Amino acid sequence: MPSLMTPPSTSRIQVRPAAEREGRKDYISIRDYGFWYGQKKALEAISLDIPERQVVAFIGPSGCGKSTLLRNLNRMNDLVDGIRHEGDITINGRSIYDPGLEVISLRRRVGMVFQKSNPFPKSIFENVVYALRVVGVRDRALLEEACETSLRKAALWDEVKDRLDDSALGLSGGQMQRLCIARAIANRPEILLMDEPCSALDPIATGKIEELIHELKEQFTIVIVTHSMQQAARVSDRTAFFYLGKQIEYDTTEKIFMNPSQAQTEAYISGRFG
Amino acid sequence: MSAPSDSSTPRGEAWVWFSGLGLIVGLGMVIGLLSLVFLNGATVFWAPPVPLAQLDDGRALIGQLAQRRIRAGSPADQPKYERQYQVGLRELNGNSYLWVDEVRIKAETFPADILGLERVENGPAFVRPRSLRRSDGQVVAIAEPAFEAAFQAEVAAAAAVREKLVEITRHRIGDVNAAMDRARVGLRRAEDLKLADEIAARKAEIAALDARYAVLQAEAAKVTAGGAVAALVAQDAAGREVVVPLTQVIRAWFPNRLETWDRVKLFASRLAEFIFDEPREANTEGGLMPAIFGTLVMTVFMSLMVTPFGVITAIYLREYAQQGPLLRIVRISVNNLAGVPSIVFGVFGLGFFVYVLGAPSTSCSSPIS
Amino acid sequence: MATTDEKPVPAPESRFTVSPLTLAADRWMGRLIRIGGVGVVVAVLGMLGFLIFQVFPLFVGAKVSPTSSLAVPAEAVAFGEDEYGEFPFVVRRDGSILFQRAKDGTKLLEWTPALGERRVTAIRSYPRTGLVFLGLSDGAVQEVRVVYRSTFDDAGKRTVEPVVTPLEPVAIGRAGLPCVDVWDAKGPQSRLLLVRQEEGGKPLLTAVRLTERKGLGGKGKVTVSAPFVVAADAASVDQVLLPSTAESLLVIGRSGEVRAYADDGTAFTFLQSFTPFKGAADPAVAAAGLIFGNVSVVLVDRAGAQQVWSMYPQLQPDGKSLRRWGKIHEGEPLAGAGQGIYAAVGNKCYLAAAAGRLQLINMTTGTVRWEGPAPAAPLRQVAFAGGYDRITALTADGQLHRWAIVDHHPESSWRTFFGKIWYEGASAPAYAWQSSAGSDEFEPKYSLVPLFYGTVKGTFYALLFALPIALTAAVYVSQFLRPEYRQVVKPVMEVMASLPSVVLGFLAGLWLAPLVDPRLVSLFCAIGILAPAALSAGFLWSVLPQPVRRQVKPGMEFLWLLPFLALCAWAAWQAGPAIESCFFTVKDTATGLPIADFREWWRQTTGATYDSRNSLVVGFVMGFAVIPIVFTIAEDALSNVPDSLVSGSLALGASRWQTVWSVVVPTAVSGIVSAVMIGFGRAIGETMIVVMATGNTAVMDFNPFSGMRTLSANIAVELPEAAAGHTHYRALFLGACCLFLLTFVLNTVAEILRQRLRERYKVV
Repeated sequence: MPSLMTPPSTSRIQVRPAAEREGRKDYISIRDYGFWYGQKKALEAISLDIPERQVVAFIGPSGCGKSTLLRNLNRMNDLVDGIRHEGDITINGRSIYDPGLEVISLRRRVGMVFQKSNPFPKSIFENVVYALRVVGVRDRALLEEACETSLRKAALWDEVKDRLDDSALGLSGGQMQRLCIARAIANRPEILLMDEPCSALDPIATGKIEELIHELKEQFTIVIVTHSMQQAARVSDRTAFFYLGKQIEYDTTEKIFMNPSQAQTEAYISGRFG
Repeated sequence: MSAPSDSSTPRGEAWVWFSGLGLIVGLGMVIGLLSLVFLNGATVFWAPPVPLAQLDDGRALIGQLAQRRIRAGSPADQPKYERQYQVGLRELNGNSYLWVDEVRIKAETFPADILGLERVENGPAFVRPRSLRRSDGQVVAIAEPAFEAAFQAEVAAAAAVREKLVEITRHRIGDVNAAMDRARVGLRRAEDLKLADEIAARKAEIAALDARYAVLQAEAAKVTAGGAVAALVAQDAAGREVVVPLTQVIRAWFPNRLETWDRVKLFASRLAEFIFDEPREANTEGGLMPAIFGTLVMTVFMSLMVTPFGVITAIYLREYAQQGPLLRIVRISVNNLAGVPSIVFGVFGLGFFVYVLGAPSTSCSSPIS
Repeated sequence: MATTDEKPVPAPESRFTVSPLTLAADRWMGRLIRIGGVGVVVAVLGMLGFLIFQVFPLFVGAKVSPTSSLAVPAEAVAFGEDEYGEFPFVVRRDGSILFQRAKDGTKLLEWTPALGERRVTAIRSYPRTGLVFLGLSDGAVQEVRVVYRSTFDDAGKRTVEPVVTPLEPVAIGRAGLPCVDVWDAKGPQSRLLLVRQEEGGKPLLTAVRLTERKGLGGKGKVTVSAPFVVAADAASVDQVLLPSTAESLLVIGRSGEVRAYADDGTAFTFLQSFTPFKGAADPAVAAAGLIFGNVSVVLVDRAGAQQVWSMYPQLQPDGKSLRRWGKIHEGEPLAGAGQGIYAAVGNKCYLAAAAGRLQLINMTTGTVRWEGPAPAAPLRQVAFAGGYDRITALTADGQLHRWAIVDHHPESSWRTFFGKIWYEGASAPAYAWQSSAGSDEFEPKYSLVPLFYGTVKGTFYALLFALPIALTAAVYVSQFLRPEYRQVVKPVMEVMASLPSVVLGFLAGLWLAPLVDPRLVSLFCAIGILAPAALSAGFLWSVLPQPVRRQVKPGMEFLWLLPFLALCAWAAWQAGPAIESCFFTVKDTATGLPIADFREWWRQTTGATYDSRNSLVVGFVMGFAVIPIVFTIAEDALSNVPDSLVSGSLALGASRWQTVWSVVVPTAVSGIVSAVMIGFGRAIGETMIVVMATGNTAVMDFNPFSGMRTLSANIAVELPEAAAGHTHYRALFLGACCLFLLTFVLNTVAEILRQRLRERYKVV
């Protein structure tokens, strides 16, 4: 199990056989989770387990709470005022609401890629190694190694290796999003949350990122929110369907798309609403 | 590379507290200054009880406590204090304020019959009234129960007399004087040009104005005489007799008899006088109305003249100007107008508006090359 | 679709046309708005132009133009004239005086001395006082008084009649020897008459004092003292300079040695000797002249080198400081050997004649204000008119030349305002601003350098206080404070901006400075402990265990900090006296006893002054003026950093402070720089606080406990009293112009910097 403290290796990750890839089934465990924004109830009685090193997609129509649930996994909603929750979310057996756990420690373990890419107005190199600097890594050699590894993993290395010191704002849209992914994985979090990462990109860039997700899931547990069912079908191992803050169905992707058990799921999948 | 445990403090939190310091100092400065100004200002209008202090040399004084401070040169571990009393009665005491060493004060009482007066001339007075001479000549002694009511009534009547006098002298006689000035100038001009009928007309006008002036003067004298009767006979702390004509009295109160609510009303009345009345006694008493009015007028005038310019310029910058050097120049000019120190505007105003535009009407002998 | 027999009536085309009123309004409003927009530029340029127009005359030189030339007898050796130059007179070699009308040269009056056998051998005329002195062949001197009497007839026409009154000759020099030269001077008690004769080839200088005792009737009695010899010890006498106030005497020898004597009441005692051109090939002094004020002398040698020597306090070997002659300037060399130095009246200018050229030079600044050709014939006498509007010169060929002078600001030049000048009476060159003083002979000093220095000093101390407070407060309020508190706190901080600077200055000067003065150490302790206390509170909190730490909600730190800081400040205040007696005990100069007083300690240890109205007090109060501006703009800039960047940083596990330091502040840096620059500009221009809270002394030191005089305060204090159009007035305008240009440059640089930074940190 990769931990925070192991120095990043420079070799490309080998794809391990499926048997070795199996990890904890309830790596992320959400139990009876409810969430309020002030008076408004955003999530109700969510219960699902996300296994290690698999890709889980959250789908559902706008306003169904999938993004809210995603953002709660790394407690980004703590920045909003007046929130309240019930139930619990545990990661690797430890509740994320444990008072003994500092939120930033959680966030180092659970990385996030946002819908609209948000590179810092710094150089590409500085963007990628930001998380490492934040934990206190100073050694230039270490930083450069980590930068190269992350950019290779994000399939961006070949395009930017000659201009690492240029401003990150000079990249194209797709490149910027891949940069954000590289940035998010640079400090080797255990979990990667992706909130509609391709919604602002063209199909070719989207394809590149979906390829990326296939590779990344060798190492990271990935939860992806998407409004594109085709993307969910292509990319995820398991899929959860939400509607109006409630979890309607959660199963393997094949089952959800081929043979959903809930009528609402079926209606959404066949495009009758949402 | 440090290993942060899950529950250790996020880095740099100490600096968050440090930046809070800036906010605290800033807020402290604002609140401190405003409190200082308001407290120091507000206490001016409050009317506390006024003591009668017996000094160790047998003298007595009646006055409102103004300040208390450590005597200069007193040792640091055993500070000696002195007090400043506002005794008023400047015409008798020479000075309205008196410093007294605290140790010399043997006893302090608060007799209920002490009366505080705000007067038109010579500042305030703190006296012990003995009797009241009413405008009809009758005398009412302090002991009589009707004294206080009669006193307040006479003060009100005297205020009315004062106002009427102001109306006659400042407004009506003032108008006559102004007309007289104009007539005299006209007469002089007519004499220079030797226009006989004009001269006669002016002379007649002046005679009429003189007659009117005499009438008004008589009226003023009558009012003055009428108001001169009412007076208060009182004693100061040293026992000297003080006669205060009631037309001199602007406000009267018994400081040791007032309830808190009365004191609040007095405070409000003094505050209102401060804001709405005109100054007296070389700006040491009375109100600030002319200054406030001047400030408001200046501000309103300035806003009226300037707001259209500002709005027009803003509209131009946003809607009409094309990108290019002119736009940048205008923007830089606006920034500079905002950033120029106001003293430079003052210099420009003096040099241009006063000396250049205003110069032809004044004689300016120095060369302006 | 159903068809009808009738075609549908088309809507009138007029619905597409615009009413002419709308078009006209658009056109005219467009013009008005364009005019208004460009009008701002016109306003700014107009103001600058006006200021420059007022300042420009300071740097224009003098205009001297020849006006007329009057033919006079060729044997005239001296001249004099009335105030307006309408009726000049010349004195012939035989002592006779001829008055002419300047207009047409016609004779007005002629007077001849009645001397019997005696001849006139020396003549000196003093046009300013209307006195002519005739040195006689027997060593006596006759004083002739010339007075112009004006009478007005009925029609108001003025006729001027000169009246010549000769006095009894006074025997001064050795009897029988003819006078070679004669001088007159008026001292405080008496008049001095000096005569030069030649005895056996050696020069002999003899003087007498004339004391006039005025009787009750107005007529006075003149007592003549016994003649006494002066400068007997001079080896040779080439020129003699006797100042009009008779307090000293300069004898220039043929070798170029200048011997200075001082009048001690009875005789002239030798003071010092100096050879100005000692190193030169020919050290002789070709021309010399005293400048108005009689404290400085201009010396020119045969090569044209110019030096100015003046009397000023010099440190003697015995430690005393005495006024002695010393060289204060070395002027620009003249075209050739000096032929004459003629001083103006009323200012420090002089006319230098050399090699056929005339130069009008200002002694103090050394600038040549005008240069022109000299008349061909040698100059016999040159005099400036009292109003500095006319020069009259008598040449050997019998011409009385006249020039008109137009020079409104003789003392001003670039050096006056920005350079170091050695003023008369000073021991060294200095930058000084001192526009007026008690006596008429005072020379105003207009250097702007001390004022610039004061401005920089004031701005430095103001920003020293204001920037840390404003910037840290902006960071805290925009990034860490709870949003609902922010709505209250921000307006409160901005209330600081509404405090009028007059009120602040008044409080600073009359309340704060006297309050702080005896308690300085306590105040320093209380303030100095704030920053360490805040930091240590933060560190203390961060080492506490997590359950305790959680009690302080994010955004509420400053509420917890407040009591802690108050406690620390109070404790430090109480400890102040103890610290003062521990570190700052000195011996009191008055009583000799040790006292604990920071002020005295400062004076004794650093030698610098301590004023109660000092830069620290001013800097603190100026903070009230600068903080709200910097705070508002910086806070806006920090708040405008997009939330996506903050979220991105937090999602990577950065702490609050790391996010602010690494992401927010660099992104907002253009706004922060802009805020600092604008605060800078405000501090530079702040007038009333500085006027009321400092001593307004134009000092040039960075001592935090002394005052300062800034450009703006200087203008505020002096402009109301400056006479319009005079040098002082224009000098103040120059100060305003400099202020304007300074803020202009600052604003433009700030704008460029802001644009540059905004480009660099542009966020998508």
